[in-house]
This record gives sequence, C-alpha cells and structure tokens, in this order.
Amino acid sequence: MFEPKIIAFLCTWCSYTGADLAGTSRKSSPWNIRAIRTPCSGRVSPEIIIKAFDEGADGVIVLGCHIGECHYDSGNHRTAKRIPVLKSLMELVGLEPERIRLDWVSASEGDKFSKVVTEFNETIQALGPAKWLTKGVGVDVPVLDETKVLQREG
Amino acid sequence: MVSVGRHENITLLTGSNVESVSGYVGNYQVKVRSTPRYVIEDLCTGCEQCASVCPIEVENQFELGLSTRKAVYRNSPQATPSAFAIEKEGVAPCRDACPAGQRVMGYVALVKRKRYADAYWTIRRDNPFPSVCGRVCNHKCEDACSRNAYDAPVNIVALKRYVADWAYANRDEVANMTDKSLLGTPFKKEPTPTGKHVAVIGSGPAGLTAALDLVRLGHAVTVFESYSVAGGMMRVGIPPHRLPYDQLDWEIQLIEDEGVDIKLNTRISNIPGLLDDGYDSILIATGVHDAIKLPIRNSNHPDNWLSVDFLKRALLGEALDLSGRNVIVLGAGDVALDVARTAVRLGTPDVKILCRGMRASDHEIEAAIEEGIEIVSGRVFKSVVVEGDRIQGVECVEAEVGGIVEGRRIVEELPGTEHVVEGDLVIWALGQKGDYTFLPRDGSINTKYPTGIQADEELKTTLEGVFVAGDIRNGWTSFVVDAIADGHHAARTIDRFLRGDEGIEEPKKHPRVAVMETTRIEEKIAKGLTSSKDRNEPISIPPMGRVNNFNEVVQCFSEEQAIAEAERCLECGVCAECMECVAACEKGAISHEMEERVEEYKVGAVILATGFKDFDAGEAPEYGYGLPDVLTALEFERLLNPSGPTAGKVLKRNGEPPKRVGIVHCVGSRNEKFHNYCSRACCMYSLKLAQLVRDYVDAEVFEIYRDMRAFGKGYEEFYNRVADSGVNFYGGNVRSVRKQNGHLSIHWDENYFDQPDQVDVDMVILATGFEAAEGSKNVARTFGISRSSDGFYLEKHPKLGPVETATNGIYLAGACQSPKDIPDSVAQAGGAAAIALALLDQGEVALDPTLAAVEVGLCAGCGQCVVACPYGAISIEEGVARVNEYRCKGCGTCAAACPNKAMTLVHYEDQQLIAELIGALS
Repeated sequence: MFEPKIIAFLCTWCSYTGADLAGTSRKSSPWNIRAIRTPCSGRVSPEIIIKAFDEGADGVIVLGCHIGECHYDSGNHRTAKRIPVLKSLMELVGLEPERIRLDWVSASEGDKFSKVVTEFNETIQALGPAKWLTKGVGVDVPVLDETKVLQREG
Repeated sequence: MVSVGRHENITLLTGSNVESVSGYVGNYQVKVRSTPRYVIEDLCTGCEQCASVCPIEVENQFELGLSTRKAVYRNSPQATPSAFAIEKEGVAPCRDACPAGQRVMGYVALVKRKRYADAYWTIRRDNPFPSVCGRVCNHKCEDACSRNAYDAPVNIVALKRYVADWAYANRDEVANMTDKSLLGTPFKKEPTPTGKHVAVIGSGPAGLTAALDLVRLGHAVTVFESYSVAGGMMRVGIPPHRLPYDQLDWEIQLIEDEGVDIKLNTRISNIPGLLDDGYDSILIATGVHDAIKLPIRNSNHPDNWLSVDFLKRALLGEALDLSGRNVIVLGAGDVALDVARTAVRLGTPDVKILCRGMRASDHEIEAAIEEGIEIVSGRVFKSVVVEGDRIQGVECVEAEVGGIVEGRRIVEELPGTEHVVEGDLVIWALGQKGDYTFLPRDGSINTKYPTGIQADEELKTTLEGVFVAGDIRNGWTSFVVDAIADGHHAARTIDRFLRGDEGIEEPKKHPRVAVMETTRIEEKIAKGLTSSKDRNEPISIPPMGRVNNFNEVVQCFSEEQAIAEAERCLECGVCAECMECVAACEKGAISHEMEERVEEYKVGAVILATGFKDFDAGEAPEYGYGLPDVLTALEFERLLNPSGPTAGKVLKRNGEPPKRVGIVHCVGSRNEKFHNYCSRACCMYSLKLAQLVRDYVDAEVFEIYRDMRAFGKGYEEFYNRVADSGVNFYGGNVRSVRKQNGHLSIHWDENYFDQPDQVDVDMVILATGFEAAEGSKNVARTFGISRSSDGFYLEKHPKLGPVETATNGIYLAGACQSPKDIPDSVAQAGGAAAIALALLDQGEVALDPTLAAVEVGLCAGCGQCVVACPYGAISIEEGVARVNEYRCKGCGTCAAACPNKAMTLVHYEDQQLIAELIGALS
C-alpha cells in the first residue's frame, strides 16, 4: 500500500493543539502525517508549500483556526485567500489541486483533526505519488545574512 | 460581597462590558463601556421610595420571572452596591415621534394606576395645553405606537383628554397640590429674575409656550395679541364642538398666573421700536391667519367668505345666522370640515364641500357626513357663478387626482364634465398663508422664498435679537403640537441669546428608540403583563342631538374605559421619565441625565469569572417545564429566599404548600440531546433542596437519580444523613413528567428490580445543569481565548494549567471554565489570583522573541506586509518597512506576504521551515 508523504502545516494555537487533543483522546490518525508547526497559518507562504513538493511531499494540508477565531485576529484570512490561488496555479503546471487542502480545526476539535487528516491521507493514497519535479527547480529562497543591516526597532 | 464593595483597592464597575482588549501580558489596555445607573451610588440609601411610586412594572429577571419589579429597582436587599438602578430600554417610540417630546408612556401608566394628578403633571411638563392636544392633535405618537404591529395603537389622544378633563374638573384641588411638572426640567417656579425683558408677538400655542418657559427661567415676558382673546388659532380657529374654550381659557389663565403679561387688542407693526423701548429680545409667533383664495372669476364677490374670518367671527360670539343660505365650502382638510360643521350649526340647510381630494382624519370625515354635509371630491373649481347680485353656485370640472410629483399634485381635468354646484355662499378653505405686512419696511427682517420668515437653527431672524417660531416661520399651517415644540425651542434659543454660557442647553435624548417587536408583544400578552383587549374609542353625541348646538361632540372616556385603554400600553421604553422617582427621592440621588461611559483601563492581568447559565428547561419539554408547579432548581431557590416572590414560603401555584415533592436529576446534562457532560454540582444541590423541603414543609420527598455524585469533603456523609432523614431515593433515568389524574406523574427507567418506576407528586423540582454563560462567545473573542467544545473557556492544560489560558495574562476562575460548585470555585479563584499576583509582582515580563524582522537591503517598500499585518505593527518609513516590536505578535503573516522575502519571522524563518521539511520528508 502506497504510503504518501504528507506535510501538515499546523498553527500553534488551534490546529496543533487540536492535533494534540486528538492524541490524548486516543483518536487514531495516520502516522505518515508530518506536522510542521508555525505560530499562525498566515505564516505559510505559497513558496514554502511548493518547496514541500520539491522536497518530495505527495500532499500538503494547511490547518488553521476557524475564520473569526484566529489567535492573531486575521492571519487566517490571508491563508484563506492564498491557498485557493495556489491551487489553481498548481493545476496550471500539472499538479492535481486535491494534493493541497485547506481546512479549519480549532483547539477543541480533536475529532475533526483526526477525521480530516485521515480523509486527506486516503485522497492522496488514491492519487498516488506526486509527479513533481524535485530538487533544483523551484523557488530559490534567500538566506538571511546577519552581517547585512537588519532593521529592528528598539 | 459587602467587603468587596467597600475595599479601597477594588473598583466595582456595574452595568459594564469589556468592549475591546489590546496590548500584551502585563500591559493590557481594556476598554470598558458602562451603561448608566441613573442613580448616584453615593447618595442612594436604598430606602425604596422611588420604587414605590414608579408606575412601570416589568418582569423581575432576578426572580426568574416569578414576580414583577418596577423600572427603578434593586435586584435584592442584599445587593452590592446597595443603590437602586433605572432600566431604560431607550426612548419609547411614542415619545420619540412627538414633536414636543411628551412622556406618553409615563402618563398612560399613571392613568392605569388612577394617579390622575401625577399624569397631569407629566403631561404639563412638556405641554401647557393638554386639553387642546387631547382633542385635535395629529397624534404622531399613535402612528409610532409599537402596538400598531399587533392590533391597534393605544388611544393616546383620548387618554390625554381624560387627564385634561379631570384636571379641569378638579382644578381647585389641583391648584393646591405641589406642582411636579418642573421636575426634570431646567425651569423653576420662582426663579431669580434676570432683568431681561422679552416681547412675544402672538398668543398662539408657540408664543404662549415660549412665554411660559421664559418666565420660568427668570425673564420678564409681555405677550402682544392683536385679537380680543388669547390663544391664537386654538381659540379662534377651532370650533367649540371640537374644543370647548373654557378649558383652554383656564390653561391660558394658569400661564398668566405664572407671570406672563398678555396685552390683548394690541397689534404690533413696529418691531424695531420695541427693541428701542427696552425689550432685550422679541419673538415673532403670529401664525398664518390669511386664508387663501384663488383668483377665479367672481371670487371677489362679497359672498365669498374666508375660512379663518368666518370661524373667528363665529367663535368670537358674533351672532351669525346662516338659515336660508346654501353654503359651498371650497377646500379639503380639517379646516374645511370645521367650517362646514360650524355652518351647519349656524343654521344652513345645505352644505357641500368641494375639493380635489379630502384629507382629514377618518372620524372627522365620518362625523361631518353624519351631520348632513356632502363631500364632493375630484373637483377643480373654475369660477364662481354670479347672476345679478347673488352667487348662484360654483362652476367646476371633474378631475383625476394623483400623487405628488416634485412638490406638486398631479391633477388631470376630464374634459366635458363642467357643471355648476349650486349655492349662494362660498367659503374658501384652501389653506392659509402668513401676513408679513407688520414686518419693518426696510427689509431688516427677511422673509423666505416661497413663504415664511428667514431663520437659522437658533430661530434667529436677520434682525439681531428678533426670533421667530410657529406657523409663521415656515409660512404654512402645522399642528398645535408642532407650534408647542417650536415655542420650547425658541425659549431655549432666546435664553441662550440673553444669558450666553449660562443659557439652557438643548436636551439630550436616549440614543435608542425602543420599538417592541411582535414576538415580544405576544409574549407580554401571553404572560398577562399587558391587556389583550381591543382599542377603546370614545363615543360621540348622535347627529340629531348635535347639529343645532356647539356642545362638544366627542365624549370623554369613562374611568373604566380610560384604565382599560391604559392597560393596553406595552411600556416599550421601560422607564418613562415621568419623574415620580425624582419627586419621591429625598436624597436627590436620581439623575436621569447620566450617560453611557467608555473608559480605558491599563491592567497587567485579567481574570475571567463570568460564571454559567442555567440550562433552559423549556428546551426539554419531556420534563414538564411549563406545567404549573414544575420548577427549576433556581426558581425553587427563589421561593425559599425570604426576599423572594413568596417571602420564603414553599407554595404551589394555588397558594397551598405541597404534600409530595419530586426532584429529578440530570436535566440537560449527561444527555446526547442537550449536553454530554455532567454538571457536577446538581447531585449535591438536589440533596440540599430535599433537606430544605423537609425543613420548610411537611411533605414527602422523592428523589430520582441516575448516579449520586457525592465526591467532595463531607459530601457522602451528607448524602447518608439525607437518606436517613426519610427522603425517598429511587435510582433511574427520568423519561417524562406529565399531568395525570390531577397529579404530576414522574416516569423513569428503573435501575433496580422491584423498585417503582413512577411516582405521583404535586410539585416537581428539575435539577437543571450548567451551560456556558450567555455572551461567553463574545467574551472569548474579545480576550482572544478559545473555548472547548462544550462552550466553556479553554484552560491551558486540563491537568497542569486549570486557571491559565493559552493567552498569557488572561486567567480563569469558577464555572466559566467548567461546571463546579462553590468550594471548587473559591479554590480556583484563589489559584487564579495567586498566578496573577505572581505575574504582576515580577515587575517584568518575558516576551516571546518570535517577532517579525526586515532585511532592509531586500525590501522594496511595496507595503504588502503593512496590509497583511493584523495589528498595524508595520509601517513604511524612508521607503522600507519598519516593524514596531511592541505591537508585533509574531504571527508571520507579513513574512508570507512579502514578495521579495525581505520580511521574515525570527525562529520561523524560511530556511528553518525548509530544513524541517527536508528532515520530515527524507
């Protein structure tokens, strides 16, 4: 059985805690989900998602707080706008849009977390491995150089 | 509670809500909006005099609807603070619609309680002519009445008339009473004289209202009236069969008694001269007394009379005899009807009203038709037909009258329909315009186009010191109540002109208009809080008995009718501002002018202790809530309380004590249909109630429980004691409570064999569970905390962090975090207080270093980050982005938005995330 490599971007306050709750409540989730925690789902840029596919992910799921409940007020509004645009762009370049999923899981929704990632896992299993060009092509990310002037407010 | 209220370091903000929170742990700015109490806390002694005189009664929410309370109230004698408060839902729609701001709800409620003198003062506070408005007003109040949406509006006009008639009939008594009408106004009965003298030209409702207000402010006022009687149109324009003038004359006398000097038969035509004579200010309130006549052929024949002149002659006692004259009245509206009905009473055998379309109140039109007057509408008059020296009639043509377009009515004359309506006396009632001939010739007082005298918002004319109010201001007719409103306004503006900063201000109205919705109306009627009866109409003298005299046609309500009509009022605004509480309060603690306050507080930590909401047993009808004598536990607690609705006696609805009481556990809890969780406190409080029932009444108690959760210190021992005292316990899951054979019958699934599964009782107590408090969703959002799936606030960690939340500096205490009883709430509160103190004591806080940072060299200053930041923490300065570290919360949305990747989030930089990805996917 093909075991997909799935990256789940989880926000610290809602979906990550929800995933934790799923664990403590002994709700089963597929073990091949790799969680990457960020403070807010708004931190997840389209470029990072593409990089995930570059590095071999078969599917990427972004889970944030429900709209109106973002710990940072409106970070998830940005995510809500970015992901659909990314999905349609990926479609243009030959990646099935179902390989990217955006959903909302709150800190108390252990059940939902488990259900959503299980569903996503099944979707990716059915799609098979991602046929995506790997390393070398993708987005070049500049390295943060401490020696250059960094504008910080004191 | 008292020690909390008295502690010098504790500020108690009641009636308050946190609107917004900004900042971070140790440095929160909390914006609080407080609704005013309308009672000065430091002055109120809690003597309850105000509540005893308040006429408005509403449901007592503190007693869970088991009793009523007044609009000025205190939740319980043990309340902290002990001051009373006034509930104001907003300004009632009737008062909001009235140009003079009459406190309609107030006087209607006082009539309901037979307090007619108090009702009279409430009316007179804003209206010196109750007898007039109680008869001829266009009652915008009735049009706005919430009850319009349900059946028919309250008959406010008739109620006002009832009070006016009562006051007149009892005027000697009234003269000896304390005048409460000045309470809540800036006026005084004996004010300090200001030394200023005001001349008012015209003694109509506008002029006299202004004059009365001005003397009450200390100014000397002389009113100049050109007619031989005072009262303006009220006296010379409304015939006595609609408005008997003895009451009006009395009302004018009262105004003169307060110091207004009225000079009759004095026409003023030299206004600048008055200013030279020493008057400090002049108010022009001359009204519009020139009837309009169309310049059609033969309209200047002497038998063309004008409405105003005709009425004035008749009403000033001239013996006019119209027998043998056939009258044609030209025009539509109240004045045309007044003219026609007056003509009938002066003997004319035949009256016809010709108009394009009759516009007057339905009952006036009906009354006119009953008196034999013929109303012919859809006519345009072409000429007056004269033969020899007598008028033969009016030639007119039929027309189709449509709506108003661009200020003009669409009238289409139908060709070939010319005909003559016969008659020998034509009276023109087409409306009135102003007479401006008395204004100075040099044009120093400008008129307005097309009609009226030019005035600004302070009612000032173009001549310094000269003001204008009433009909003459716009140059067309309005209603008496509009003139009264204008008169009040003029008094305020003139006072400001004369006294500058010491002058009175414009009154502030409550910002909300409290219209009651239909569902609420139906609720009130179903609960018996308002009458469900139809609107009462006053009776009129039958036509036969009225056409040859000027006796008043419409009769006054009887006392029964008045009270029955007053009971129909829905009391929309709750507090009516009738000022009875102000009159009763010896400490002067009532302040109706209090306003909402919004204040910002700087706090270091926040503890949320917003409590819980009782499960609404109405959502579970299987338990019989709604049947008489089925109570929730909280309602039963109110019955037990000595300051509760039954003064502490356990009584059924029929007033007798119960003989058999059933207590049902787990109502709303441990149930998939409602809430899965156990509410933790109900088993123990049910045991307590069982014991209390046995203490208070000689009754058998049956407690049906699923499990007995007696987990705390001394709890199991208490359970055993209650069981030993003779309370009957049955283990089972209650399925239903029904009315059977005159008893309340509780049915359950039995847990133990050979145990009954049903018991008949005459009172049932439902042990309702806990729910998240009303509004807890909003509170959670305001403070940026989460809630668990059961709706209660989410703690940081179920075992290790029960009082903290994921947001630093916001702590939880009590049932708002999860259902619990008092000992546990107190313990948790101590914990929250300790952690909050520990935080504040540190003097410093360690902040999360996860902040946004800009690589200036890569930044193009596009501003995408600025737009993305939820906190406005980024600005573009000198072409590049700059992050305000105090505002930045570290979400990283800006980093994702940056096209150049010049913005990043420290500790979550792209390279770090990519490294994680590589590791995870290897």
